[in-house]
Amino acid sequence: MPESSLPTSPLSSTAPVEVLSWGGLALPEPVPVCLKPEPLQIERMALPLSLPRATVRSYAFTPAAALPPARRQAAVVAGISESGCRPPAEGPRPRARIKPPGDVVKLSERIFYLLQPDLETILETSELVFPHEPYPFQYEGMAFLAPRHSAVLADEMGLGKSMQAISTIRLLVHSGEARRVLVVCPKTLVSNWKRELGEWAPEIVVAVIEGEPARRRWQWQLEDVPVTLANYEVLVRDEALVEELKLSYDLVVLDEAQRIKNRGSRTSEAVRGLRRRRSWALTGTPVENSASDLVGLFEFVSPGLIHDGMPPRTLGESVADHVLRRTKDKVLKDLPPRIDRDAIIELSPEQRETYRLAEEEGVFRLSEMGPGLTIQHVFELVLRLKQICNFDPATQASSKLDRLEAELEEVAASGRKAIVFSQWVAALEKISARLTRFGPLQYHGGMPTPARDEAIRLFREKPEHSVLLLSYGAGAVGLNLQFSEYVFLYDRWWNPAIEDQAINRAHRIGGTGGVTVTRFLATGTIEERIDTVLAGKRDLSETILSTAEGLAQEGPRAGNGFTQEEVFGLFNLPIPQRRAAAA
Amino acid sequence: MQQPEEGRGAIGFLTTVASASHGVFGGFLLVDEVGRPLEFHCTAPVRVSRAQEILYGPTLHGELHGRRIGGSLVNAAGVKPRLVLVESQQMLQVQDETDLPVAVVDPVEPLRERFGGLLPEIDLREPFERIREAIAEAQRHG
Repeated sequence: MPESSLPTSPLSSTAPVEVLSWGGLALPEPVPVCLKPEPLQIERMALPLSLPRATVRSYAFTPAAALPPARRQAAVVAGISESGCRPPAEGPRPRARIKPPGDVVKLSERIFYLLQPDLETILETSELVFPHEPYPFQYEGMAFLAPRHSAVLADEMGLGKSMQAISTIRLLVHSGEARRVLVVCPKTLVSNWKRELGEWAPEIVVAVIEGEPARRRWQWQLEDVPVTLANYEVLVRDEALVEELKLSYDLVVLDEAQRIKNRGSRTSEAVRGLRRRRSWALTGTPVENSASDLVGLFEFVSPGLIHDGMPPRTLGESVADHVLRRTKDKVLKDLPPRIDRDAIIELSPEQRETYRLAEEEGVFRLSEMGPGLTIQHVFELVLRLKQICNFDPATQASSKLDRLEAELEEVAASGRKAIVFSQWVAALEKISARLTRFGPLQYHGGMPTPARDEAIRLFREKPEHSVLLLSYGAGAVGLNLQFSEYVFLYDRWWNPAIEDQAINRAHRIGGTGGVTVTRFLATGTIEERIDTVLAGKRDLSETILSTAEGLAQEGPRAGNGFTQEEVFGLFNLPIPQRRAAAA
Repeated sequence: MQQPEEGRGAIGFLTTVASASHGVFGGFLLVDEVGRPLEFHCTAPVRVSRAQEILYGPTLHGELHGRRIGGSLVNAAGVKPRLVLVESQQMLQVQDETDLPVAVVDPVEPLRERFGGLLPEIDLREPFERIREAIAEAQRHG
C-alpha cells in the first residue's frame, strides 16, 4: 500500500458556557483540545496472486480394434426367450458399468476400466445386435464377466447364465481380447449351446468336437475358429490329445461347473490341465454339499485362492470379487412373472434310428391309404412318434429324461420344487422310476381322489419331494401349486391354451417367485413341426378347434387347436378328396 | 501431435473436482466417436490460500478451474479434439488458454443442433461421471 500523507487540521472548540450555581457547584472552564496526527506506519505485505500450477498426469489408450461390419438382424421381439429376455423397455434404461476387478492393482489399468462407457453404450455403438433385449441384471452379469480372468457366474437356474456368457464372449472376440474360446458343457446340453450360440452370437464361427477320433483331432486343430464347443466326456477322452497339440485358450468356460467339484475326478483333472488365460465357471449350485465343493471349483477358476479348512467367513471374503450370484427373488423386479425356455433335445442314437424307421414306414402307409385316410390315422402316427421322442420302445433310452434329471439336480439342490407334465401316464411312471432320488409323486386320472390329494399334500409339505409328475388331463385344472417355481413340459399338448392352464398351476397370482417353464423339444422330429404350428397359435383367437373342456380324459382329442390342414400338413399329406369337399 | 482419427474425431470432456482436504483436481477425457476413451489427463490437487480465495473472490473459479487447471490439461493432450465440453459457465475461461472450441454441455439439445455432426451418440453428461470416478480412484492410490 503506497504511503500517503493524510491532510490534518487542528481541532479546537471554545464555546460560551453559562455558569450555573446550585449551592456552590460550578462547571469548569472549557479546555481547548488540539489534535495533531502522527504519520501512519504502513507495513507492506506481498500476497502471491499467481495461482499455483497444475501438475498433469496423462494416460493414453489404444483405440479399440475396428469392428467387422456386423450383420444387421431384424430386431425380433418375440416375447420371452429361453434366456428370459423381453422386448425393449420404455424410458431411460439403467446402465451397467464395467468396474475393475479386485485383482487389477495397476492404477493405469484400473483407470482404463473406469473410463470405459457403460456396457449398453458399448453394445449399441458396436452394432452388436441382440435378438432380444437383455434384462438390466443380465447387462450387469456381462459387465461382471468382461474384465475378469477368474469368475463364477452362479445365477439361479433360468436367469440366463449361458446367454450372459455368450454375449460377453462375443464382446471379447469382437474387441480382440479373446481369439480362442473353449466352452465345455454336459453332453446333454451341447445342442442347447449350439442353439444359443447361433441365437446370441450368430456371426461367430463355432466348432463342435464330436464324432470319431480322427475327426475330433482335426476339429481340435481348427484355426480361425473363435469358439470351440466340447462336452466333458469328450474332453476327458481327448485329454492326451489336447496336451499333445499344446492347445491353449484365451478363455475356458465350464457350464454346469459343479461337475468338477471333486478334485480327484478325471473330469476335474482334465479341465484343470487346459492352458488358458481366463477361467469362467457357470453353475447354479456352487456349493452343493459343503465348502469343499467351492474349493474344488476354484482349483479351476483361480488355483490357490482358497483351500480346505478356511473358515466360512474367510472363504466368502476371498471369493467375493470372483462370484456373482443372483436369485429370482432379488431380480424379480426385472423379471416377468414367467420365463419360457425351450430345451432342445437331441435324440439318443437308439431313439433316432427307431424314430426314423417309424416315420418312414408310417408316412408310407398313410400315403397308401388314399381316400380311406382319416385324421385319426394321422394322429395315431403322431402319437407313436411322440412316444419314441419320450422313450425308445426297445431300450427305454431317453435323452429327455437325461436332461430332466440334470435340471432336477439343480432344482433340488436349491431347495425348490418342480412339476412335470406329460400326456401319458406310462411316461410319468417311467420318469418316476428313474428319478427316485428326488422323491417323485404322481398325480393323474388313474389315481383315486384320496391318493391324489395326499400326493399334493406331501408335495407341498415335505422337502424330500422335489418333483410332482402330472398328466395334462388331471393336472391342468383345479390345482394350486403356486409354490412350484419350475414347470417342465415333457411333451407338448396340441392346444396352447391347455398348456397355459397346466403352467398356471404354478404361475398364479400370489405366487412369491417367478416361474420358469421349460418345454422339451426333440430336434428334427414331429415335435419341432408341432412347435412351429403351436407358436403361431399362441394367439388364441387363431385357434379354430380349441376346446379346453375336452381334456377330461387322457389322450388327445382330434383336432384340438389344430386345423385339418395343419394336421395333415405335419407329414405333407394332402387332405383326402372327400374331406376337402366337406371342409 | 497425434492427428485426430478420420471421421468425427475426438471430443474432450473437461471438469474439476473439489476436495475439502486436498484441493482441486482436474480431469480431461478424450473419447472417440462412440465414446470410448482415447486419452485421459488429470492433475495433482491444486490448493489456494485463504488470501487468494478472498482476493480473487467470484473470479476464482474461472481463473483457477478454467484457466489454470483447464488450460494445463487441454494443452497436455496429444490428440487434438474437435470440441471441448465443460459443465459450467466459469469453466469456459479455458478458452483463454486454447484455440479449441469450448461449449457448456447443458442444455444438450442446442448443443446437438449446433455441433450435431461432431458429437458422439452417447449421453453427453455421462463421461463427466467417468472422470470423477477416475479421479477418485487416482486419489485412493495416492
